[in-house]
Amino acid sequence: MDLLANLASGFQIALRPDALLFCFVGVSIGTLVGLLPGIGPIAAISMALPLTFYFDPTVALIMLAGIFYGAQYGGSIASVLLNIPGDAPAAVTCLDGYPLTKQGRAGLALFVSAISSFLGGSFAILVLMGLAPTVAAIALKFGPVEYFSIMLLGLIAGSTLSVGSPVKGLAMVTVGIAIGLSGVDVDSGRARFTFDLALLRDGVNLVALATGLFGVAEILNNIGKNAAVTLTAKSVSLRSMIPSYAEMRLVWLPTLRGAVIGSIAGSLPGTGPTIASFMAYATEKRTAKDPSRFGRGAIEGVAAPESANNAAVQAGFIPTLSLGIPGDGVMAVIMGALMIHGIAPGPQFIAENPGMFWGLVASFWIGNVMLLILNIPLIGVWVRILAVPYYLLYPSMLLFICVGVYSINNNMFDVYFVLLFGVLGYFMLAFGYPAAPLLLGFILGPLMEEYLRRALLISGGDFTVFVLHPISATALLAGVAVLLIPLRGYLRARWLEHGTS
Amino acid sequence: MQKHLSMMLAGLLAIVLQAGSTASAQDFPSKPIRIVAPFAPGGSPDVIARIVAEEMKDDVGQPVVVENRPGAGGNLAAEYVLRQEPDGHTLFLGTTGNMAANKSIFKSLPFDPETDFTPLTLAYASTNVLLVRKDSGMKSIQDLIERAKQKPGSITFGSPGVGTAGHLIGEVFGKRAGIEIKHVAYKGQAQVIADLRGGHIDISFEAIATAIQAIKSGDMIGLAIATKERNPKLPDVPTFQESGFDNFAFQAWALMAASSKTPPAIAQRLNAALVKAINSKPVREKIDSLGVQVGTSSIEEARALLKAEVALWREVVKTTGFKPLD
Repeated sequence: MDLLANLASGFQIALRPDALLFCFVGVSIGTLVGLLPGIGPIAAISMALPLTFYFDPTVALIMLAGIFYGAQYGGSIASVLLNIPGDAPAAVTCLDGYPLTKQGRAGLALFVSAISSFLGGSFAILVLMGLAPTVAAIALKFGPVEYFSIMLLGLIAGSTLSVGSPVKGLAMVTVGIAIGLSGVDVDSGRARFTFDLALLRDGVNLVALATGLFGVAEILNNIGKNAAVTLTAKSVSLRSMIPSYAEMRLVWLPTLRGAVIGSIAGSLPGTGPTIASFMAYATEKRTAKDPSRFGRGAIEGVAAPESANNAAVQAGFIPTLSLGIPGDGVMAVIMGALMIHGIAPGPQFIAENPGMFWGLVASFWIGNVMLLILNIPLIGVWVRILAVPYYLLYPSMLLFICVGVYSINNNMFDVYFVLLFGVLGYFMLAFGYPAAPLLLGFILGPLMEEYLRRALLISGGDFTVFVLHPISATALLAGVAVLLIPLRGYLRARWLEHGTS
Repeated sequence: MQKHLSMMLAGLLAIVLQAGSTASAQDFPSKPIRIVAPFAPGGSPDVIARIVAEEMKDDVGQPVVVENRPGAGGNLAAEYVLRQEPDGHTLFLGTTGNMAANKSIFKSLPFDPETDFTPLTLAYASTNVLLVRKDSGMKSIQDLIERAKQKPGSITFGSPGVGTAGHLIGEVFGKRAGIEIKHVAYKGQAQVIADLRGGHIDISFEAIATAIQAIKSGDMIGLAIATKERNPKLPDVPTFQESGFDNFAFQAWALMAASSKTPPAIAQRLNAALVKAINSKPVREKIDSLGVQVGTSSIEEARALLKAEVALWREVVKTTGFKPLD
C-alpha cells in the first residue's frame, strides 16, 4: 500500500538521530513557551529561524513544527494550574481547568488535557496523511459566504460561553467586537477607531488582549489575597492523574468531537486553533445534558478544547503544505523556514518533496508521543516551574508576559495594551463580567464583518447567496438549531406540565 | 589674532571630525548589524533578507540579524530606523510599497523615502503575473476583456489590500483595457490565492514565485506577465506588451537602505558587503529557486531606480484616480 510505504519511508527520516534529537528539542521548547504566558510559538519559532540555516531542511521543519504543536500541550498547564493561559487557544481551558484545580483535581485536568491533545492531534495527523489533497480541495470551496455563516454559528454557539448573567456575557461579546473593529478597514483602506495613532492602524494585538485580560487580571486579582490553591511539586501526583472509569466515559466523546472540529478549523485557512477551541467548548456546553456544570469544573470542558486546538495545529499543515497557503502567522514563519532553504511552498510541494513531507508527518507521531511522556509521567518538571511562591511567581510571570508580547512586533505599544487590558480585566473580574465572551467577540466580530462585506461585494449585494450556498446554508441551519436547543427543554417541561394537568 | 584662533580651531575641528569619520568607517561595524524588516516574519522579503544576512556576517565580522517591526504599511519600521544612531548598524528593508508607492498612496508619510534614506543597493526584483483558473474558460487577455465587456462588473480581482501594488496594478489594467473590474480587498496575499483557487474571485496579479507553482500544478493559467520580455521560467506566458498593452511593466523590488545621515564611507562599505553577499553563489541559488531575480546596484543606481519608481507610482495613482489614504 502506498500510504504505508510512504509512512515507512517517512519514519526512516524521522527516526534518524538528528531528527529525533531536534524533534525532542522542538517539543520541549514548545511546551515551555506554551507554559509561559505571553511568549508563544510565533516568537519562539522566529527566534529559532536563524538556527535552521545550519540544519537539513527536513530536520529544521521537524523542530519548528514541534515548537508549534508542543505549545498547544504547554499552553494548558498554566491555564489549569494558575488560571493564566499560556497562549490564546488555551484561554478556553481556564474556564473549567482552573475550577478543577480549586477542587483539588488538577492532576485529572492535566491528564485529560494531555490525552485529549494527543488524541486530537493523532486524528488530525491521520487526516493529513490520508486525505491532505482532498481536504485541501474541499477547504478551498469555503469562500467568504461560507466563512461568514460558520463564524456566525460560532458566535451564536459561543455567546453563552460563560457562567452567570447572559446579559453580561452578551455585553462582553459586544465590547470585544468594538475593540476588534479598531484599525484599518480592509474594504476601504480607511482607519477606524484609531484615534489618529499610527500604532493602532493594524488593530489591537490578540496576544496582548488575551494575556492582559486573563493573565495580568488574574495576577492583579490575587494580590493581597490568600492564594486559592497552593501549588507544590507534589500537588500533581501520577496517582491523582488517572481518571476513574466514569470520568473516562465522560471525556471520550467530547475529545472525538473536539478532534473533528479542530481538524476542520485547522484545514480551513481562515480559521485556526483559537477559534477551534472556542467552538469545541461551545459545542460541548450547548449539547450537554446539564450545561450548568460548565465553568464549574466539567472535565469535558477541558477535553474538547484541548483536543480541538492540537488537532487544528496539526491539520493546519494541510493548506500550508498541500497548497502553500498558511492559515496563520505561525504557519507563515514555518513556510519561511522552507523558503530559507530555497524551497518554494505551493501545490507542488508534496509531489516534489515526498521525503520531507512524509518525514515531517512521521515526526508528528514521534513528537506527540514525546509530548505525552513529557506531560504525563514528567508533568512534575513543569509543575515545579510554576510551584514557586507567588511573590516570586507573579512578578516573573509579568516579566515573561512583557517580554513575550514585546517580541511579537518589537513594539512597546503592545506592552502598554497588556497593562490596559490587565486593569480592565481586573475590574471585569471584580464585577462579574466574563472575559471569554469578550475574547470571542474580538476574534470573530471583525472576521465576520470582513467576510460579510466581501461576500456581498462579490455577489453584488445579493443576500440570497448565504442560503443558496449549501455549506453556508448548513451552517446557518445549525445556528438556528443551536438557538432552539434551550427551547427544547422549556417546551418539554411545558408539555409535561400540560399532560399532567 | 582672534580670527587666527578661530580659524585654527575650525581647522582642528575639521581634522578631528575627519579623523573621527574615517576611524568609524574603519572600525565599522563595531556591533551587530540589524536589518529592520517592516513585515511579520515569513514572507518573501523577510526570508530573502535573512538569507542575505546569514551570508554577510562573515564578511563584516559581526552578526547580522533581521528584526521584524510590522505595522502601518511599513511606516513604523521606517520611523524606527530613522530614530536610531545613523552609524550604519541599523538597515531598512525597503520595498516597492514602503519606499515608492506609499509616497503617493498616503496623504502624508512621516518620512521621505528619497531624502531621509540612502538606498545602499537593490536586492532583488520580482514581477507580477495575471492568473486565472484553468476552468475559467479564459485563455488570453482578449478572452478576459471580452467577458468583462459582455457583463460589466462581473469580473472580480483580488488584492492583498487597498493601496497595495496588486490593487493599483489591477486598477491600471482595468482603465487601460477599458473594462470595469471589481476590486476585492483581502488581508494579505495568502487569502487572495486561496479565494482565487477556490473560484470565489476571478483574477489576481500574483508574484511570479506563486505563479510558477500555480501554473506548474496545472490548475491555473498565466494570462500575461507584467514585464517587458517573457520570463524564461514561464516561456508560454505572453507579456502585456504582446497583448496590446504598451509599457505595462511593474516590478516588485526590495532594496537595503540606511539613514541618509550615515557617513558616506560607511554607506560604501555596506554597499560592498551587501552586493558581495547577494551575488554569492549560495544566495543566488536560493533566491533563484524562489522565483525572484537577484539584482544588485551601486548607491547611485539604487537612488535613480528609487526616483523612477516614485514617479511611476505617482503616475499610477493619478491614472487610477485613487484617493490617497490618511
